[in-house]
Amino acid sequence: MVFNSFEFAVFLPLVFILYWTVLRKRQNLLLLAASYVFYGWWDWRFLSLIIVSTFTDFYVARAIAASEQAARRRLLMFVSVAVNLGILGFFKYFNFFIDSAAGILDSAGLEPNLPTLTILLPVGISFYTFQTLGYTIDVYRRKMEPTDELLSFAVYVAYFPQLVAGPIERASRLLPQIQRLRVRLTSPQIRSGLYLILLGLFRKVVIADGLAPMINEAFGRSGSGDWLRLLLGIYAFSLQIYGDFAGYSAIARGSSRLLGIELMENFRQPYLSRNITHFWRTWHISLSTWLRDYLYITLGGNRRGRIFTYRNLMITMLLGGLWHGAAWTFVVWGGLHGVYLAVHRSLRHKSPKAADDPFTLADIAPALATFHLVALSWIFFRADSFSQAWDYLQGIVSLRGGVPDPVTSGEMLALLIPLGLMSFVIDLAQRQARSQTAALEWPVLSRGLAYGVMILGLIVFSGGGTVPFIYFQF
Amino acid sequence: MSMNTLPATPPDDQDLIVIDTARNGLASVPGWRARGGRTTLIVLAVLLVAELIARVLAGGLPNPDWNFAQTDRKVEEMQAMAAAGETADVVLIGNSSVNAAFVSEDLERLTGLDNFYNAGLDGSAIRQTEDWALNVVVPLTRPEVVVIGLTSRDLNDASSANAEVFDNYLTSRGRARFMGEETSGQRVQRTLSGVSALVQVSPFIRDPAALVTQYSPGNPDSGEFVLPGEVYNLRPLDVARTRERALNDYTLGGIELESFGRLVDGLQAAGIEVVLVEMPFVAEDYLAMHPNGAADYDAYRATVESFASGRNLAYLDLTDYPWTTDEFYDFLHVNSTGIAIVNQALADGLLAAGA
Repeated sequence: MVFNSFEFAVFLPLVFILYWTVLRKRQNLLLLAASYVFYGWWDWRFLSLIIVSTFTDFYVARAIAASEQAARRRLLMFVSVAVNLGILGFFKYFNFFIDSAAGILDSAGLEPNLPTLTILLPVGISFYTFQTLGYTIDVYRRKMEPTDELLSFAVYVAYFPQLVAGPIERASRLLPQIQRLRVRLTSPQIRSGLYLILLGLFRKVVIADGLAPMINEAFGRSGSGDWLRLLLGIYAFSLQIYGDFAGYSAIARGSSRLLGIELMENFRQPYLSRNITHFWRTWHISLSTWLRDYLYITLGGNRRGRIFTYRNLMITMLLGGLWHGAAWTFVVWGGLHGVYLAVHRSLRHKSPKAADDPFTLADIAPALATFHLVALSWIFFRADSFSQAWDYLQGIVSLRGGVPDPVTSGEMLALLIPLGLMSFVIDLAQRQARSQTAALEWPVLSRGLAYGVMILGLIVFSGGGTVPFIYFQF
Repeated sequence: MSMNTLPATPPDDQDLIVIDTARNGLASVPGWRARGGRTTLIVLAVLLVAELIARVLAGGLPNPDWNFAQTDRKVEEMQAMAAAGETADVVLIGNSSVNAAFVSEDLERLTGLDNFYNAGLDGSAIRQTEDWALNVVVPLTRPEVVVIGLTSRDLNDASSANAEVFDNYLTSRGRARFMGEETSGQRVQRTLSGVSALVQVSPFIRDPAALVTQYSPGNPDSGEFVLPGEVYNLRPLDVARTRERALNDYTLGGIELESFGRLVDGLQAAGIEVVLVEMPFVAEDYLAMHPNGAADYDAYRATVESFASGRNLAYLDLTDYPWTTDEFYDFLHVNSTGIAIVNQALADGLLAAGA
């Protein structure tokens, strides 16, 4: 089930009503059942993986906490890592590693005959395995006590608003909310929850899905399209992936808020960032902080001098890239960001402003520069292969096709400019107010107009077919 | 065991409405309803204004179930035939070059056969023709002979227009309903589009170019084919679209050819005789729109000829005629002079093939 579907439009209100009325004393049972139905809507067979992950980490974490022997604790931690990463590795990376190994052996003059399997990728597997793994690591590091409530933990793993594409929540934040009975839902919670859902749908259905055909066309023509079409295509993809993922996160937060549970912010206007470090503090925050806490710091962080810091940044970003997908293009994407971050760090330029400080005129040039660095990296993220990414890049740099076809370019700009402006205006309003729900505080007229335009956009764009969320594939 | 917790606090506690499950009650504070009511009124005003504007615009726009008025019209015609117990002797399928060229009444007169039906659809490439023919046209018309009109754009795997038009057809609520696959969302959209002009015009707001490329402005509601003129006219927009979107990156031998095989196999399995017809064009203009000019077209012809001989299909080449621009209204579509020539040629070909 996807958020932008008719099914979810029925599912959420139904869960909401049951949750706050007849089943209010069985909220967690309802949430677990609803989450399993939500997930099983795709393929019920993959529920077994979630259940395996749930039982493994629930019992392993308890055993870790109960043990004082370092070796036994390490062994148990290894069991959790092996199960979670084993599931992830098999379903997501098996063929990638086999193909890569075959490529290496082939280039060495050997003729390998390695088996590949037809494996379906379970939706959201990268998200929930990281979430459960994070819980066990926190218990192992004695940062939190394990829960003894299996039902609460099962809800924590499978909680439907954030199950398939995050935010990747920390147990220390989400579990306590699940464990306590939610007895009150306030008007501001309802209003802001509904607003977040509306905003998320607008970002997804209008901005991201509205731009999708243009992007498919540009990347479908990576080897022959004229340079302007390719350039506009990458601007469009930058907006699409942001609208798609930030839209998903907003709907997740809004839906969860209606159930009395707060999820973390996953995006804070990343395209208004003044530098690449700020970008990573505002883009997919739940993943970047996960990687920082469980990988970068584990590797030593910045504690062992500059060279090790750069190395750790590169490893973190390369693996972060690989987390997104089993392809070398994602590794290159991560590597590019690793280089960006290392270079920015080496310049030792420390911005006097925080990542989410209000945007000023002086921020325009650095924000544009940062945006273009990020946009460049998206070519590798979006391309089906490294050669396609290279063709795409070459097409832009070599100004392929000379004077662009005015009809096609005009069509693209007619959609890109208004949708891009809308995305920018939403971000600017949020940034200046330092709030995702800034519009709720606007005067009645402005607020009514904003809601009206968003609903109008949804009516117009919702008939274009349901486009899956991009991050579902991860 | 207890947790070291940092439970999130609800956004604030200025309760205007409280759903207090302990009491299961709903309380309100003065002011909220008034503010919420004013906001709702403004939202409704925005939607009302948009709906009124849409109603003005929608007067001249179609509201097709199949995302294309022409498809709607043809489905209705074939359903009427089926309801009346009529069948077609010969059905013609293909893209706009077929749709524009063949006139059922002329073919019936010239061949002496009963009931020709032209099921050609503008913009349709082989993948769409396959689905359209096997799932819609054949079940409704039960023909004895199917004539497949071909142009080089039909087999271009890289054509973005082919993919877009096919997707447009495949995702239409009309097809979903016809195939018994209509989703709840599509049902809602269909119902709403009958009530709201805003929903009706939304496809054209999402893709204004569709108005230019898919609909005949002369008669958009019926989806009837209207001959745009008799004089040859090479419109820059048509040229750009054909070059950039129909013949772009000309590639043969993949999805479209596989689909072609399934189409012919499916028709033959139903006991239907298949005749391939190569559609005419204005060589001096059309060939140059291919990325590699005539070389692409020659490769296409070799592919089709090999396909036809490999399956022992009747193959009628309508390009084998000294065509000039006098018989066309654009590079791929014949005018009334051309229509007379191609109908005579097809009739002769069908009679010679013993249809």
